[in-house]
Amino acid sequence: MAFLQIAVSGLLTGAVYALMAAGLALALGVGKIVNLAHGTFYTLGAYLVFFLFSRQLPLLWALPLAATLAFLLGLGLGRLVAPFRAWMDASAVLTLGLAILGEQMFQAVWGPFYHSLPSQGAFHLRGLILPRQEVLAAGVALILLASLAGVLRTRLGLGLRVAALDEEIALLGGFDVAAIRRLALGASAAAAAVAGTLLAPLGVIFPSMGRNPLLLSIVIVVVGGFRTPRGTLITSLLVGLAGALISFYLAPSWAYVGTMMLLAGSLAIRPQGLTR
Amino acid sequence: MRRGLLVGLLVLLLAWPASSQEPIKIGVLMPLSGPFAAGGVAALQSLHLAEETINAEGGISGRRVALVVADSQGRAEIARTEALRLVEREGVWALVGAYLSEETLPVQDVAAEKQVLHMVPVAATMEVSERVAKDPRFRFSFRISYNIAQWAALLSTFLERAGSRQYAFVGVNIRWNRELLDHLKSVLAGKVELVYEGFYSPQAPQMEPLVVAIRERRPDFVVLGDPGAGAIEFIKRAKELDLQSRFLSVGGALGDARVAASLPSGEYLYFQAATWRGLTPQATQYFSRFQKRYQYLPVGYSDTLPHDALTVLAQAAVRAGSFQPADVIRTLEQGQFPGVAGIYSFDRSHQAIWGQGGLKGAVIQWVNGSDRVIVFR
Repeated sequence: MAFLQIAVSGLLTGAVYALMAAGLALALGVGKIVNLAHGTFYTLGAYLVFFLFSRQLPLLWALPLAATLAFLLGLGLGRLVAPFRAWMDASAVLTLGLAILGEQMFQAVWGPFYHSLPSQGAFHLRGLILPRQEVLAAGVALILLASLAGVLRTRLGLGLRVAALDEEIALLGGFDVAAIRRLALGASAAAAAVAGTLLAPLGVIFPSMGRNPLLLSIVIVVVGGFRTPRGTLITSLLVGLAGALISFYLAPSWAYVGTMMLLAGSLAIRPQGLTR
Repeated sequence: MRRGLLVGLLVLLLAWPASSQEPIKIGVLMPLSGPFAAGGVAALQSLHLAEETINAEGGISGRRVALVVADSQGRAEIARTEALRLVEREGVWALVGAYLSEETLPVQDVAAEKQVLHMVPVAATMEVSERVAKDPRFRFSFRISYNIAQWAALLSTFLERAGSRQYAFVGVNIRWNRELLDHLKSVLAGKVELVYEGFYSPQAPQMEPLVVAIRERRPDFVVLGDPGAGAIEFIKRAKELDLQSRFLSVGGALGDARVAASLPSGEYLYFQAATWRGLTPQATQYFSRFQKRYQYLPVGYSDTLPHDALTVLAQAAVRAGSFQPADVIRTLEQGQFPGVAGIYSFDRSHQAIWGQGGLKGAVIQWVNGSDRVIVFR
């Protein structure tokens, strides 16, 4: 039973990683920027939940609010970084600056302190205990990833895929590449904010909370590739599962290092990425 | 001519009090941004309260105290360069800080190199006092907070008195938690059995596997070594997954009443504090003043000991009647100094004496979000 509990927990964790990573993959693949401010949108989502909670407003508002606000900010980010797109390192430095600025703004508004929301309890299912919020977060993440996969099959999705592959071909195909890129950055930011919203009650809210999910997303995108949501999802699930199993059967201190070693090993065998 | 002399004398007389009242600058290094900002900002708030008190009581030998603050960001290299800036460019008389052990050691290096007094308000690594004991160049540093051996002694005293037979240790995979468990193991050897130890990654902590592993071993206490966000997350997962043990935290995040209010109700959570309201009139007054000023309750450690660090330093300088480091060091080595947490005195490694024969500390229990004090006797 312990194995099942750990495996399910790892998969649920991985599913939520996937949502965050899918957003980053959109920014990198279609938006063509290394968006180091991706974690800032995650933090924004978490603070929105805290804001609603502290004002005793319905927490359900958080998802559409976070998605809309982050989408608009993502569009703005798209405009801001457009002149630097040719230089990936410049866009990375610019977004890093924005990430630091974002942390300072969160600190100025909500203070540097830890905020915690009440736990939502757990489902008990034949000996398995599943935290409600984790199940909800994983469920929403899977639905959104499936929707993204669906969108990629439409004409808009074709534009996204062609823009990711080759800008000139996309232009020749009559796609408005600039608009597609802005849209991708908006959707990317919204995905991160939704992930933050979903995970806020599980963890702790503080200004620099977006750093770790950002790092993990970068690793997942590098290993899983940024072309398909399927690649991101599979890699994320593997990362979540490997982390949980290593933690339980070897030692928690090995979970992160062990997972990174596994991913590095997989890259050595398949440099093109796990799922390409 | 006489008129010129009179004017000159008048100018001198006017200028004299001004120069004698020039504030004495004290450099403060705390992480005010980044992952450790919660602790750093609270520490700074407590320092400002101490600064106000000292100035209201006439300053140090008639000179007002002025804090010059630097953001160490929780990073050793920043702490070092900022400490150098405070000493060389700002001309501070003494340094207080930093927060983490990793960033306190470079500040101690600067204090030794520049021969500037240095108060360590929070950091716990043994290395701070071991350096003082072994090398006279580090004599400028005095530690107010517990060192790791004292932490282990205080935690083990509580575990033994609470009748614990088996405990688990969970911490973040950093030096301070590893050192703490080593000391705890040695203090509790043969008395309370360690049934599980787990150190999660600060980058991607996954708490469920730890909780499940501990649940299988059924310890009566889980000691939580992380004073930060990880401990809150662990408690949430533990309660969701029905872990029945009680929890003893080193404090910090879990000593925050706002956080405690968000946790499932019950009587399962204890944390270590240097002092708490209700323990002494001084502590009660300090807690009340802090809460009134900053609209939240202090955690009784990282937002209280920096206050005492500045208070003790000021008392030593007043008693020494001098700002010369050698005079103040001698006074600190020989004297006893009242603070919010009790009466401070220092051993030969310039470590404040906590535990047996020294400052007491306390364990606080959260009972459905309200605090209950348990005193060591």
